[in-house]
Amino acid sequence: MNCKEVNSNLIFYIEGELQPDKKTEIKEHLQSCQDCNKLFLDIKETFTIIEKEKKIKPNPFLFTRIQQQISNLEEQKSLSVLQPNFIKILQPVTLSLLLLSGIVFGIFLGNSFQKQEQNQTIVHQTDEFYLNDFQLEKIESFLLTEE
Amino acid sequence: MSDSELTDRIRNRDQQAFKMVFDKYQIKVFNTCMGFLHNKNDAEDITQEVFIEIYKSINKFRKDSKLSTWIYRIAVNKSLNFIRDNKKSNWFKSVETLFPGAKNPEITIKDNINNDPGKTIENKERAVILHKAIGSLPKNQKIAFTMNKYEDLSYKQIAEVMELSLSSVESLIHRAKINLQKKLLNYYKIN
Ligand SMILES: [Zn+2]
Repeated sequence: MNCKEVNSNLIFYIEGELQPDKKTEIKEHLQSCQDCNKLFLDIKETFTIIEKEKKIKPNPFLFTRIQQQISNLEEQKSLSVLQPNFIKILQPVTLSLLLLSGIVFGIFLGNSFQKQEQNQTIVHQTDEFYLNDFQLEKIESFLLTEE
Repeated sequence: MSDSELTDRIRNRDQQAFKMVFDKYQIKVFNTCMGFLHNKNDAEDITQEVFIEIYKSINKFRKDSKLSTWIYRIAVNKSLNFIRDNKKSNWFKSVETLFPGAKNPEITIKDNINNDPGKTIENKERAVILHKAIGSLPKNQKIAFTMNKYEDLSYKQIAEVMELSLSSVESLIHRAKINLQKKLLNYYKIN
């Protein structure tokens, strides 16, 4: 086996994925070839980094953090659930308040314009008279012409 | 308690069941995140996000797949999204996690006065080159390789998570190793 062939199998050699005869061939080559052996050691060392990383453990308070975030989320959720309820309660309240203020305003309006209204009825009455007069006249003349 | 019972309980907002799922899967999720992010703080943040998602989306989990498969899928997606959104600083962070104080050379030397400072610097370099090499793999090769190496998942489990055939996963991991070997050889032949 030449150096190129050995190099292209180093990772599978390290991972123990080679057939026994191929494994022996590479082992023998590495014992006699310094260049390939250096590369073998480099790659092997590099892969041990993964094992080091796997030993790192998460913070023991991670679950507390998660629980905290979940209760925050639930609070937000319950607030947003409450909001439509607020509207449901507020709607009739505002409606009746509007209605009430409408009534009060109406009474106030009625009181302050009572005098004016009386005057207006007099004016109206004269107008009506006048109109009636005119209409009567018109009918009369109409009747007259028919005759 | 079975995963099926646990998910039913979580659906009803049972905190105890949620804690049980957390205890059962936190290391698996954390290791998966570490495999992609190579930084303890980031991996913890994403692990937290994964469990919040589990809690929030438990109704979306269909029982025809395994709970573990579903959880791994969330962990992979969240990790990849994190990488996508934080591309720049990841390499530096990974060095910090493995070698605290590496950012500050003085501390590193002090810390390793009784050890071998040369070796730490060497390992720091190796970590950078490894993470760069894994990070530059095509997406599916990266996912399959990372789940296999960092989480020790079987090819069958990876096939379920990735929704691929067993032979596709075998081929992805094989190609990932060839690519990594090529990248590492290129680096170590000059250095
Ligand atoms: Zn050689």
